[in-house]
Amino acid sequence: MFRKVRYVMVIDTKKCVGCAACVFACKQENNVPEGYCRDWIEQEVRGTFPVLTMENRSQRCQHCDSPPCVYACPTGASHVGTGGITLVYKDLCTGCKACIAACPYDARYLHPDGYVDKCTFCEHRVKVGMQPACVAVCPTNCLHFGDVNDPNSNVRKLLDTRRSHTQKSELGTQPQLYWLD
Amino acid sequence: MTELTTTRHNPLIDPHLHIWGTDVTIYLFLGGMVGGIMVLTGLYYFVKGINRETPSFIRNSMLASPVLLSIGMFFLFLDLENKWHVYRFYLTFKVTSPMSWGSWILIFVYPVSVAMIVLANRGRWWVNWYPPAARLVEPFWKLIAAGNVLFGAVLALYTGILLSAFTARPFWNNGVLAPLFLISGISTGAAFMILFHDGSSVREKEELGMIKLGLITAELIALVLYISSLLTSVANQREAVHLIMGGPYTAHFWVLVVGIGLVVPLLLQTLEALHKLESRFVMPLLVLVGGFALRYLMVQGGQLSETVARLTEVLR
Repeated sequence: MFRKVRYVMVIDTKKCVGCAACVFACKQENNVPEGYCRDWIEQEVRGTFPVLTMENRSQRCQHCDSPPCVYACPTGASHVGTGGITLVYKDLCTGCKACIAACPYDARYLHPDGYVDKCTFCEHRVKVGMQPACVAVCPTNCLHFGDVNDPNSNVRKLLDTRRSHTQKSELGTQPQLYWLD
Repeated sequence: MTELTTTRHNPLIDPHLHIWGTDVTIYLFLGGMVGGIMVLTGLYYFVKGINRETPSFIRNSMLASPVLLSIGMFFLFLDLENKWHVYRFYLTFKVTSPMSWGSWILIFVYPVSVAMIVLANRGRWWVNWYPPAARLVEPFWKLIAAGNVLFGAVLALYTGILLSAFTARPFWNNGVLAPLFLISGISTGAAFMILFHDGSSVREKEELGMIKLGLITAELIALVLYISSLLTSVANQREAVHLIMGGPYTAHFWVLVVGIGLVVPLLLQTLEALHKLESRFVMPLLVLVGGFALRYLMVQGGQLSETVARLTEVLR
């Protein structure tokens, strides 16, 4: 029976130590220009010493099911690719920056060559059966990637067995980065 | 205490979004103003018909409108990062993209605007030189007037819709923004037309002055509605409105937009209506300054608003 592939990322913040290996792996794999990043680490510390709590978050494009960046793009450069991955045709991009303004996660940036760039879930690797570079390099195994519609996938099992949440879900973008509680 | 650290450092994105600057503001201002001139000129013909001589200040401001729009578009072009790809706007139509709508609307704005110039100047030698263009447009004057009202209004409205469609930016994401920009656009259009008044057609100028009085009042009401709807909305919009209610743009907003751009012109216009105390250039210039300041603050405030709302939420 036909089953639609939907790639998602599940992130276990309890395992993340904020080492930024994912950030450097992404830069290396995707030749991200110096001074820019497709993924980044957010660290939130709450409380007063010695009563503290800390959360590290490996952030990137949320590859939304209802992507405002794609809706805002006037030329069709921003589009949804195979498996629901949000991508940019750089040859169609005018650099109008409407998609950057539309993204609630500020996950896009303007490449020095004049087009908008962002995380692609390493589509070129996924196509040949590999994991995205950030997932492959993570030393604590806190990043999980796969097809959420596959009942045997790691991400499906994690989402079925653990509580999770998404970010800014109130905006209706249906983000596909899931954060394990 | 909460401490939020990020390793993201993308130019134009961090520490807060600042992708659009003065060039986009100039386009939004000129687009709104040209839309306003088109609406007022179209309405003038509907009310007065075409059998009388068009006042020179209407003719001249109409003549300037395609030029002003082209200047605005030039600034928009300057804002594009990949200028060679500008033609891509016209190779597709994206129904979900306000910017795509805006690009295609311009295709209709130019012809109706030029047709109106021909109609308004049909007695001039340079229109009837060859071929006699006036004879071609006269039978369609109602259609041309309607086209100017329609596309002028759409052009001015669009500048607000473009911003209000961004749900990611709480300062922009408000239904009142589009009508506010429409009213402000017509108001700045009327101010621009008054600048061209040369002393003749006094009655028409007085009528335009009364329209102006109504527009300034309507804009003040729209601003109250805009602020109150943000204040009574969800948390991030309540935080965003503090940009102009105690935040970094408070003085600019209340002095430039409300004071200089609306309240002082309202007083000057009232004095003119009641006591014939004409402020030849001051009132229209103040309205133009206020209209530009409104768009500048909206463009800048909207880009800052998400970061302000998010940090307030985290640090609460």
